[in-house]
Amino acid sequence: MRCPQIQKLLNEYLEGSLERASREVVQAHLQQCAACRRELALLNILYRELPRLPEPKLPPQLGAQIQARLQVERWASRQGIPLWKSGWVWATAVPLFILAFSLGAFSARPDGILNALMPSLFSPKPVPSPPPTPPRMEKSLQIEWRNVKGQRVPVLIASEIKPTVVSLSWSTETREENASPQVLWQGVLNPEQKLVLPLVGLKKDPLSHSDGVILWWQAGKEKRTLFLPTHSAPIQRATLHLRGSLKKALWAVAAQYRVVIEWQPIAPDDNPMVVLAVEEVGVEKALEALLEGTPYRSLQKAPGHWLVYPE
Amino acid sequence: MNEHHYSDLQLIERFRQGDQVAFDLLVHRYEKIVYRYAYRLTQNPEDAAEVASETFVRMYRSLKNFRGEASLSTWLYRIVNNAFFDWRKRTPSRPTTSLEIYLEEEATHLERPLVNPTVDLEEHVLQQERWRVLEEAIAKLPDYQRIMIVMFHLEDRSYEEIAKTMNLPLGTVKSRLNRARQALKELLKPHLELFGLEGSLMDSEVGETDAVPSNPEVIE
Repeated sequence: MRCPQIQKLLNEYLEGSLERASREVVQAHLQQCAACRRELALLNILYRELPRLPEPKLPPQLGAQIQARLQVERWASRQGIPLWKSGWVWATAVPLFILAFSLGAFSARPDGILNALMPSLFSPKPVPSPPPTPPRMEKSLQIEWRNVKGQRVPVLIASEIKPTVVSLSWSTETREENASPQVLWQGVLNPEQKLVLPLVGLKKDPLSHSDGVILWWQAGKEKRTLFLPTHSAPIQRATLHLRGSLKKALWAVAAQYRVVIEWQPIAPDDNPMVVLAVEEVGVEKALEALLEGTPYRSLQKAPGHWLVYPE
Repeated sequence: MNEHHYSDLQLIERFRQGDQVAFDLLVHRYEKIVYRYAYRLTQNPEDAAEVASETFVRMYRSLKNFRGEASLSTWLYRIVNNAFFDWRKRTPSRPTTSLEIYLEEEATHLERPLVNPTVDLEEHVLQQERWRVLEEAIAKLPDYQRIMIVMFHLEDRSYEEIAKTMNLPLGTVKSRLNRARQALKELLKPHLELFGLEGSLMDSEVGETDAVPSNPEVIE
């Protein structure tokens, strides 16, 4: 037998599945042929070393992640909604679904929530298509209010210029010491990706005095606080008399004008005392007055979304 | 209900009768296998968790139609493959391999055996390097070849099981697996010394003539 024929038998030779006669032919050939011995030695690396490769460790959150997906599936199954017809369920639908459950939104008004959620479950792009994406993404974070099946829904849109570990947490409690933030979404955001996260089902806690929710956005080492009001329609003019910490004041302004305020503190614990007394002014003037004398300034990032940043 | 008291088919039957706990027990029984295989295909813990989760969702949808012609594990491997290919289509721009991240994270994501004091430290380092080279080579294979290699050599699936999983004739599985092995061997050739084979040893052409007597050596 020539080398090519012998080499075709080497797998079975190593697996021990060759018949005795063939095995003896192969053995006799190997004793005399260096080339086939080399081939056998190389093949043997695969048989010997591959099964010994270390096993990956199960991530601690795997069980919870699987259960979260199954919870959506079970719910949809009970409702008779075939989630699989359009293929892969958009990943972010899961935490939002959980959020909606935890706030009792389904029992309160299932149709409304479902309407808001359905686009994310049924189409690859869960909300009305974003504007054409420029080929090179920029680092950005903003909340836009978009119409989804007749409902105004806040949509968080984020991108990064390099692969970044990001996480978005939320709470209805402004005081972080009392808050137990729940993670809404976390993962690696790559430069070619754009995170479009419809924040449906967010509801204020009836026991809380806050008129909205707090979101914490962490991208790498950078952390921002976003005050998201429950109501979508902004209020044009308001009268405010506030005295207290900047964090509380920004929250009050966000709730009063029903706008998103994103705060980028100089340091994680920076929270200067402020005083605000304005009569019948718009949000721009109110923020200007509030931030006077502090190291912060404000600018409008998007309709209904204001950024408060270090000067 | 203790999962060990029930066979796969018993749990499937209970699930068909509406017992959700039975399904959770099946998930618990197979999550390690499914995740491990998904990790081998995606080479990334987050992506593997996504593919594994999707696999169990698909299992939930179709388990009622499972007829038991193949074992549940064979059936699950097929679902992982499908979920993996769908994931791949969905994230085409993602790099096929994220080796740097993978290597940085290996301490947390891979269970590397600790150095045993009786083990030669140099040998331990070499073993780590051999594994790294092998993992890198597997990562470079095209998806179809990687599936073949992982199923046979890492997951210890037989040719017959792979044929059932991939819905391919046995002969096709063997020939595809051979092509995958050839590709993997090519990728390993620059690292032969690491595996105790001298590089120059591999340079000579494969003989086309009948075996010529040389220094006899017993291979076994």
